[in-house]
Amino acid sequence: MTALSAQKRAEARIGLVLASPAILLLVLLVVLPVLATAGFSLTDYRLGTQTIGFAGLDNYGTLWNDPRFWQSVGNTALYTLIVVPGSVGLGLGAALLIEGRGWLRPFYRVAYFLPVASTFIAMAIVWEFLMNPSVGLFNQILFALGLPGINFFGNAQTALFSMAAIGIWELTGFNMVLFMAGLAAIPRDLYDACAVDGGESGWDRFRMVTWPMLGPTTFFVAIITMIRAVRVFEVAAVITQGRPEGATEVLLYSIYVQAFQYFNIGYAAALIVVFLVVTALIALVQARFGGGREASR
Amino acid sequence: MIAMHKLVLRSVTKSYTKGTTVLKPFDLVAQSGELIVLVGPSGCGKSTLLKLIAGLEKLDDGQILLGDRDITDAEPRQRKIAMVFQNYALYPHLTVRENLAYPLRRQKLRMPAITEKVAMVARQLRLEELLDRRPSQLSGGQKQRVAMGRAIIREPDLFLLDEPLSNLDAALRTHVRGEIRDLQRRLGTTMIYVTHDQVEAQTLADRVVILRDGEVQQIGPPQEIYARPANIFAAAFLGAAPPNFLAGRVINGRIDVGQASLPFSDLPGECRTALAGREQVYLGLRPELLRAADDHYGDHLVLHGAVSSREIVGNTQNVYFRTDTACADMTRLSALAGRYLTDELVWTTENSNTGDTVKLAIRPEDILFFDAEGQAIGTHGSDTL
Repeated sequence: MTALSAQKRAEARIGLVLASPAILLLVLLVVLPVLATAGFSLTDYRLGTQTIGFAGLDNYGTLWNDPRFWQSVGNTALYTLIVVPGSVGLGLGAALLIEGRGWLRPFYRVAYFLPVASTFIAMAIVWEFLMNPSVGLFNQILFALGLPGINFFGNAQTALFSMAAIGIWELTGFNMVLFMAGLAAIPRDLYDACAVDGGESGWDRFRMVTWPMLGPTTFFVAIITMIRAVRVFEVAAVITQGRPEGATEVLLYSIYVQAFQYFNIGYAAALIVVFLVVTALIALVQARFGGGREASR
Repeated sequence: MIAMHKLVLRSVTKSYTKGTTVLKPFDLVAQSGELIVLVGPSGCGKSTLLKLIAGLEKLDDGQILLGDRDITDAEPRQRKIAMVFQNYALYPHLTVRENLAYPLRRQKLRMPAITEKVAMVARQLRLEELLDRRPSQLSGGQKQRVAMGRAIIREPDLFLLDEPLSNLDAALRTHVRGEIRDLQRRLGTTMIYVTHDQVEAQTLADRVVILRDGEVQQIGPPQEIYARPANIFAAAFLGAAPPNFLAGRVINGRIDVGQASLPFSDLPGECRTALAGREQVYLGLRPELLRAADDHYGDHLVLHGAVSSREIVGNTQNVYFRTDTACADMTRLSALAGRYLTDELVWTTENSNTGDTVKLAIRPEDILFFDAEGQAIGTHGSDTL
């Protein structure tokens, strides 16, 4: 008995040794920075100053009472609420359409995946041109059709929606690729069974086979998209800088402004902690409900 | 009341992208209520044929009739055909009850009628306890029964079963096989059953269709194919183990097989006529038809061999032995048989005390004769339609 447990302990020790490089990297790159950030959020540290003082929960109190903070939370939430259904739905639709297109499939796959592979800062600049109120392509088309142009980013009513449109464009391709992988895993037999059982339309096949079988994929895609949407930053940084009237001020952009323009490291750290909690909650939902829902045949 | 639904396939062909023929012109008439087993190695076209009948694939040419209807171009749902899939293909998000009801809901049946039929089928297949479970909560055998239930609930004109037992363990397979046979008898519905398992073919079929590379090798009742296989492939396919194949030489009214010799006078008349004028032949000796030779066998074909190994299966024993009469050309024979054959021979016997050497004989009428191309001689394989 003792021999056995001694052996087990030896095994555990070897396991720990073998895992140590990964553990070390995890601690260095993830755990320590998070702890450091949490620590900074309790101070009044400003970049460039020589002093650092303990501030308790002051930073959190400040942000609780800061209307700009709440505006950026609201903007981020609204952005996420538009982008997630939009890019998940379009991604699924594109995947379903491409699925049937034999030899053109590789082309479509690459075409839709390009936004994921490209540098998004550069893409944001392209979008800025496309959406330019006077010379942009979109308004030129509207003008040609005799319609009034849209001041995409100049108007507080449309700015966030314009940003969401770009977000949907960015994420649809990635989601499509994930959905295509999910579609490929659906057994053909189920479609055959549905056809023999009397399913006639594409809608029958979607309702009886595709959608139920894609359940776990859809859940995963939605979570991933949500995390990516909450992290929206580039468009706000490159095109709008939070304008007009803070309509495009999103969480990550607020952090950036606080940390690198106002040098309020303590306050920015508090914002980051809030941001981390939100993403951690989403990831937790995924871990809790995503793993167990395995479609079986 | 048994509806009469005969299935007729006329010159059905199918090929995928250029050149690869999956099915050469295929003809079959399945009588109403008949259970036909399509059997063959993987890739022989048997599953494709089933999909063509179901309408899941389009045929290149030919005609399919079911009862008095021409269903060649009909949609799958219009064919009144039910199909059971190898992986059962149950809808994972629906309960057993909903799975059974789905085909009826598609037929726009009223709810009370659906409920009644589901209850009836559930009783027939002992699914009552399982009605509210989902497929993921069922065992393999239970899923199989649900798949059967979903097929019979529509009272189709034809059943198609695609390797329905291959995902079950051996014990359950035998049991479910019997259940399928009973069910088919009771309902009297014509059934086409695809398998690669020769035991299923022998035990289930009214008639067996042996396919190889998209081409029919033989069609007939299993006993008949066993007794009079049309070629070496059919002989090797149906039976617990393939026959022992020997090469023979026809000379002056006898066949020389290595050191042994077999006079024509011992053979049935039809065989004698068919063998006359030939030179090279193959002899097929079923392992279970070999017997220990007594001295009075005299001139008959007697095999002397040294035992190399043995395996015991219940009360029978497979005795492997080598003999100088063995056929040298195993590569050619393996190609004809579509499986790997060695020059080791086997004797299946209930005799438990066999020595290190064997002396075996076979009744001349039990010997299968094949020409150099592997086609049967003397016994013309059963009908090819």
